Amino acid sequence: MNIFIAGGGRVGFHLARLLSAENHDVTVIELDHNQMEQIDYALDVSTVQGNAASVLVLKGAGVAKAHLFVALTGDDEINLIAATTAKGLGAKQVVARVDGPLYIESNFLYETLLGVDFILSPEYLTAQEIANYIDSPGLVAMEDFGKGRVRMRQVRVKKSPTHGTRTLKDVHLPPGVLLALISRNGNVIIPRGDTKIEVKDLVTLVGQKEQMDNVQKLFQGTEPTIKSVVIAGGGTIGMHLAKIQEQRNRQVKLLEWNPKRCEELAAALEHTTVICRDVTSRVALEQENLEDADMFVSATKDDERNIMAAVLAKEVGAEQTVAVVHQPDFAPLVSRLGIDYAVTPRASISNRVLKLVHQKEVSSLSVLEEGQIEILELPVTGDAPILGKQLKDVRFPKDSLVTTILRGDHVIIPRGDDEIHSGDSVIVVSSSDSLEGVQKLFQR
Amino acid sequence: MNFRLIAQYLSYFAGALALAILPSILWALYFGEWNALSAFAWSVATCLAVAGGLYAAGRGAYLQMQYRDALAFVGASWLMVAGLGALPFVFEGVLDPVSAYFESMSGFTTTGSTVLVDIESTAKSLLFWRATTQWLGGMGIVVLFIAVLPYLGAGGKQLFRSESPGPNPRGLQPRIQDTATFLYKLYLAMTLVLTVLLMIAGMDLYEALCHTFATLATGGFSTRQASIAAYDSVFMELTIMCFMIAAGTNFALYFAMARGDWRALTRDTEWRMYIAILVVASLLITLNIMGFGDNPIDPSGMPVEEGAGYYGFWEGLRYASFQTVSILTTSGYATADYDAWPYFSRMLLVVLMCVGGCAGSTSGGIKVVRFVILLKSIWYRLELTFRPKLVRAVRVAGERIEEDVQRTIFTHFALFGLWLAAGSLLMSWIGLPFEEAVTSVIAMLNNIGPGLGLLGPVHDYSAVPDVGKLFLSLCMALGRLELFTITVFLLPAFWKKT
Repeated sequence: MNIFIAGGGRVGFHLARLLSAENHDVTVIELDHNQMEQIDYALDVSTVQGNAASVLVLKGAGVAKAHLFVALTGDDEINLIAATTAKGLGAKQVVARVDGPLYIESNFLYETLLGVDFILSPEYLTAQEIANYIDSPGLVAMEDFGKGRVRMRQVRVKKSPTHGTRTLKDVHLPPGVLLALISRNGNVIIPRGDTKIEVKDLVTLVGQKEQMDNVQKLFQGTEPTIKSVVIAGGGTIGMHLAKIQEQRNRQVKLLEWNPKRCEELAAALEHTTVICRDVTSRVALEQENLEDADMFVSATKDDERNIMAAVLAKEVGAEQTVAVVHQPDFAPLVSRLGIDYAVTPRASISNRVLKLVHQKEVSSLSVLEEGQIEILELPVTGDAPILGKQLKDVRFPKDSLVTTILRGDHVIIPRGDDEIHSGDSVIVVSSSDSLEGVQKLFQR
Repeated sequence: MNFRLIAQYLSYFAGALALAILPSILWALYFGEWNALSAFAWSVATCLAVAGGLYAAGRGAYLQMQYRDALAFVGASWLMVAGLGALPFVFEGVLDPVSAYFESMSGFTTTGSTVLVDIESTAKSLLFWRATTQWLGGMGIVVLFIAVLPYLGAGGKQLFRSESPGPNPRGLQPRIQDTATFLYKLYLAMTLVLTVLLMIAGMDLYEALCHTFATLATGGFSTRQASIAAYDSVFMELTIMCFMIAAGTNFALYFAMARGDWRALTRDTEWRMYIAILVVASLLITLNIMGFGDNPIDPSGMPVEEGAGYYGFWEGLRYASFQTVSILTTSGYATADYDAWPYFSRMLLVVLMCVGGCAGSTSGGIKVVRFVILLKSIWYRLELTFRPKLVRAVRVAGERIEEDVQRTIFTHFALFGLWLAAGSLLMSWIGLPFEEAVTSVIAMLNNIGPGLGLLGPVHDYSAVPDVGKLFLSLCMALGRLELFTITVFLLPAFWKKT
């Protein structure tokens, strides 16, 4: 696919790396010469120097032939202009990133006005992701496949069902549910019968939708529902998150050090207690009765502050802590510090864009573990090499697994003697390296 | 330094070299050269053994190539490939190991200078192998591998840059593998066309292939002692000239033309300069070998007798233009003994040796575009001496040349000067006369082939002592990899871990 990315900052760079690793033709448009050189040197993409909002730059770069154009600079207006212009020049699908709430807080459809297919805000996506976590803590990600009949869930293990000599084959998962993979300290394990599950592992479960709610208990015990939330940092993420929590009728306390911003927040959020304090002060956290809080979220712009505040909050007595981590290199370290969940805004937005890219070839898809693992739904074509073979006789690429077969209205959790028929759809878990090999098995 | 990964990649090269020997084996069978056949068989076996050893050493490598590793790998691969490519000459017994290394390096770097005293009595299949090394080296062995190996990715891009000629090489396509594949497809197509043309001109398949390989790589190996002069065919000379010029052209321009931009070639500043140099130099030399400006001074101060052996205009133009094209594109084919020409022509040819062809071509030399940038940059800096506050963007074809690119080009010229001075000193220390010492180093650093005097177009390099051959081999690799890649090997800091 021919993909253009305007803006080679943190988000743009990250996305360009993911896409070029999947063998797409990627061109990055970047204003700054040094940054451009750095991208050119580090990634297998081509680069163009210039302002992405300029029609001359876009034309010169060949945007007219783009299948996807993604504007990811740090400037909302440039992104919107660039995306509209690219669409006007002939790009098939265009996406613009906006940071400020200006263009998304209202219901006004800027998309239609500007002809942009998607306007995405990393902050809003992040806030949404945190809100989902608060709704169902321990559940890290959830995705529906097969027109909503199959659900994928990622769960952080609190209470391992395997202990002593019990291994995975002794664990009785509900019928129609499969444990697809385990991530432990950033490594991905495709589980087998003798695998053991450890506390703090991240397990990915796939299965029939109705069964999925029960299975979570197996790995977590019973979770108390969240009634009160403390948010540190009143930026776009904090504010949007507070808004969502208000709608869910939770008690929300918002800490922000800038008095002027506090005024704005107080005006915008009717049911939230806004407090003007520094979030990394222990005294502040103690005085705000954090020991009674069910959930603490640190969402300032500064990673170190977020991590320190979350650790401090845990120490003071917060039940659960979530930290926003902008630098994805920090994300795997966070769980070692006792923080329950870390969200990376740039991963949120690049995962959304990746989904757009994959929509062409597969029905739906989810990217896990920073792009290491992908879950995809593949319709099986009539000439697929896998047809007519029992699954146990098929040589699958390394780290890949068929989790579900969708046949008509049936959802089948496959076993070794099952066969794939033409017209089926399959839901496959695969490491991104083996993705191509897996796809070739089902679609010639 | 990721030695394991380097070893692993090198093992692929060694294995692939064994494959590259196979066509030569077919020719050995065809001509019934059994001695050469067994030499090739032993070479293949050695290549495979080396590949196996390196592969074992590189097992379990961490698959992350840093820039430093890429440089080390490209440098090491050229030194190694030249070593393995020398094996057939050694096993066949025609050359001693040092001479064979020189010959092989001369092939892969497309230099085209030889130590074979009597080419026509050398096994034909061995000469075919010699031509094959030039063909492989012309577009670049590393580029070939990027085209074939899919998983090099961003590492491949760094490798591509370390090998491809010219300042600031850029990919033509977003993905470097597509770029490499395009380059090789074009290269193959040109090979096919030239082979057919040369067969029409009267060569048999064997000779046509050998000369095609050497022409497109701007290498200059021939199957005849007298080089192209042996055929004495104007049509053949014209064909080879055209393809030398084409091979010395930036391949990115062909890419643009393939995309429908027909004027890309004629609009390109560097290419226009390149053609202008060819035309002007050819005419100057034509006039000179017709007798104009040939005023040699005798050491005693008496004018020397003149008028003997001058050419007429058309004949002069024929020889002058072929020699000019051959030297400027760094091929090194000869249709005349230019060493016997007047002083001015010889000096002009030595200057042209340093210029070379266009960036992004298969030619060697410093490259026309570097001279263009150098001259513009010098102009600007001279202006600064009397207008200190002046700010001017140095442009080539409307495109601004960044300050760091200019600095790199200054460094390139300085490095060239340093290597030339050091090399000439060494060559004269081991006994070469002034003219031979200087021109041999110039010819090697620019991948030309023959120099002047005893190393001229009708002579060979067999008389150079072993130390000199090894040093000249190093100079060839230096020139092919554009000085920096090999020179950094000499810096202790390059090898340090911190």
